[in-house]
Amino acid sequence: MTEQTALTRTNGHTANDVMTTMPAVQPNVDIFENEQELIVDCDLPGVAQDTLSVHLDGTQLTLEGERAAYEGWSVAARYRRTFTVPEHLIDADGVEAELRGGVLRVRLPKRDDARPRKITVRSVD
Amino acid sequence: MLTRMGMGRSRPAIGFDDRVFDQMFRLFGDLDRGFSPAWQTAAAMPRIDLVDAGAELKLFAELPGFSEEDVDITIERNRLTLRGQRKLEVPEGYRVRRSERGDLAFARSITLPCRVDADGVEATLEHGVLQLRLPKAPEEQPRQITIKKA
Repeated sequence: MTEQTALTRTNGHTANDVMTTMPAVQPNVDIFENEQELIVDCDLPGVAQDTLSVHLDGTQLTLEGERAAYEGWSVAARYRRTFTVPEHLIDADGVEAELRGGVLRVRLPKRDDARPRKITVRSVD
Repeated sequence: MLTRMGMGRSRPAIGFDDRVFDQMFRLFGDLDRGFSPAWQTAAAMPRIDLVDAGAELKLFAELPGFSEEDVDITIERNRLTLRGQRKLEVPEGYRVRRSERGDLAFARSITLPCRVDADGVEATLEHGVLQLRLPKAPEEQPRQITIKKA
């Protein structure tokens, strides 16, 4: 999937047609990693929890949110960003997301068998 | 694969002697960056809306990840200045894979369309959006003119 298709795509889970056909803004992200997990931090100002969706479908991680129009002036905005995650890396059931002060943090724990392992060398005499 | 990572603003300096890391690069590769005209990417300057709501002006500024202490608002005559600073906080023990949000420091000045009552200004910060209510100065308030009967 390319970003072009994503721009014109309509998604089934919102009722508002104007919203879903509106070009999506790509929010900025930071990505951190350690041996246990990946963290994706994403700027989503004005997005309330009920319009937010974090979706992991196979190898596609999609972050999506909508911001209502500011009182009296600005148009609403739709944020959307998709990443490709390598197969067999993430434990999909363990994915957690929290929204704080307009920043979404998604934690993607690595599967046990994808974590680096220390191999103990036995000495054989 | 390594050069693709350079599309992020900062390139992490890490050893790549590990299969998993190698995969990680493919993983956060360039699929999501296929098509991004300038207007689609959030700018380093916060987006601001200013609305004239009759008796007051309303200003909205997008400041995700900023706390109240990170933002400084000053009003001098009809000049409003917003300053803010947000530090990139790398969780301890984690490597940086991509850094687009990063450190952010800005100062933005706006000339308001009229004088405001600086003492009556209210500021709130919710969901990463700063909202300012700026009551107009008494002499700027809209007035209802009654037509006298002849």
